[in-house]
Amino acid sequence: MAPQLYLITPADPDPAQFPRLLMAVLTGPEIAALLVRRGTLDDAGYEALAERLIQVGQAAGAAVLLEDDVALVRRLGADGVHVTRGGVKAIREAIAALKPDAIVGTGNIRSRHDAMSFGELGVDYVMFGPLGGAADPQASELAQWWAETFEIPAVHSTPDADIALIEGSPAEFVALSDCIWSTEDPAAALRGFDRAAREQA
Amino acid sequence: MTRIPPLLAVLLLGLALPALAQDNPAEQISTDIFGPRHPVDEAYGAYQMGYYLTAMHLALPRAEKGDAAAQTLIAEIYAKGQGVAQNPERAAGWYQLASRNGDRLATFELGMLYQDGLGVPRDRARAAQLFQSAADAGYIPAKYNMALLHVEGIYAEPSLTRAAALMREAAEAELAEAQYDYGVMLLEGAGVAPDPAEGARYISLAAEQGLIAAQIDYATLFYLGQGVTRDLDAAASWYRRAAEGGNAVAQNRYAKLLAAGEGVTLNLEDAAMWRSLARRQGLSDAALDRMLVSIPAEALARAEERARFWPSEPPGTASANADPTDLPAIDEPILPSPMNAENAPAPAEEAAGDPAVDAPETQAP
Repeated sequence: MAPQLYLITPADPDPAQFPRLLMAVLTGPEIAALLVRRGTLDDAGYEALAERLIQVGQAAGAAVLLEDDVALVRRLGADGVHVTRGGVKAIREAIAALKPDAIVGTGNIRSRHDAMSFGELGVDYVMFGPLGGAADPQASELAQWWAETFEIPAVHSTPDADIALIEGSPAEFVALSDCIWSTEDPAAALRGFDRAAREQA
Repeated sequence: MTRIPPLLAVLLLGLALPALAQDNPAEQISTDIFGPRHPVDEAYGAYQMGYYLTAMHLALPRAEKGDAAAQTLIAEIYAKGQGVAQNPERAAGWYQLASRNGDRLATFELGMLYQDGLGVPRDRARAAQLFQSAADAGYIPAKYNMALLHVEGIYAEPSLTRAAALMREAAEAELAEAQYDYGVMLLEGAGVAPDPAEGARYISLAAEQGLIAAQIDYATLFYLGQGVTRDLDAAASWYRRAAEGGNAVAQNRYAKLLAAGEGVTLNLEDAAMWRSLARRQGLSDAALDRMLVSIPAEALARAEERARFWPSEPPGTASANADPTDLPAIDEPILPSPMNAENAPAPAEEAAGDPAVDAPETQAP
């Protein structure tokens, strides 16, 4: 079974240019979820970016997720939250506030024990690997372990993903970030991953 | 107070130095006498002493680093709910990690979770794969399970011959269930040449280990003289052991032997007590009821009372013990007669003793 694609926005996009680029990228392949990364933005900056990208993402049929800020998710009408901080308590609060209408996923998994503790709270997915930057060599193994054992979907995030990863990835979702945005033609790069996923299916 | 002369002080210091280097003289002595110590698994030690949370605390950092033994330990704690809420999902997660790191017990236990759909979706094909790999690694209970799967023939190639070979390996390793099943396979000639005597021997090994199903079958073999010399005393004695283990079928059969005086001194009250215990577990038997129609009301009431308190004695029987009625010699009876039963008050002493052992004496003539 081929994994679905999960797209993560770059760490510091140009607020004027990026929405248009994203629109172009999303015209082609189908993306299951889009995570608007906070990067180094302050609250106001993140809110402004998120507001634009929610429109773009939802128009393309993707579920748009925001990082950590449950109140912002509700205010802007995003599709869910990706919890990276605050552990069990933050995840519980997010679930209480958003489920079942919106998605609650979790990332920033530091240990197997964490993964299991978070997973059993009733999240919609568990992400292994960083949102961007250097890939975590253990993430692939953890994602595989998770996908084999648990029913909650695994998202395997590898910023340096290449198309070969799509084949044979055991995770239900593969998250793509730098490997798309650092190319000359992000739209073409994403189409490449999408084609690989379809050929798998 | 005398001051230690400088020279002596130097000597003492000199003596103390090697011990200081060892940081603990007791350790040094221990090493000298017993040789270097093996590294101790502190987490497992804590687990064995019942300090489950301590064990978990010690094992977690090692488990995160990929230590298979620590991962299995945590899995066991979650699987059994020891000191934590039982959590088969987490157990499956840790077994999975340990299994990948080559722990065959973890592979087997993960297979059990897939087999039963505990903590993971039920998947018998996956369970069979896991049993196979644990069996290949030499884990005996996995060989036993593989033998059963070869008999079933759905998730492993249908082959009684392979089943019998695996079952024999597990039986040789003294797994009681395997001894019993291999014994039955030998009796029936399933996957092996029939050999009733050898079959009975394997069943006896399982019976000796306390497997109740084997005890019942072993008793039946004695009763029928199959694979062993017919021996009613032995049959009664094994039915009794299984009956005392709480098995309703054994209780019913032992009651019949008591009611007929076969292999054991006829004793209607004891028979009625075992019947009552079997009935409580839902086993009623018209044939046994017919054998007990003649039991006096008083004996029946005593039997029911004893069954209520079984396996303890009803309160107040101690005084009855103090004044035991004479035990009449019962030489002739095979079929119970009202006369006989009236004359056989079945004192509590006999019930508390071991009639199966007494039986040969009373039956000798």
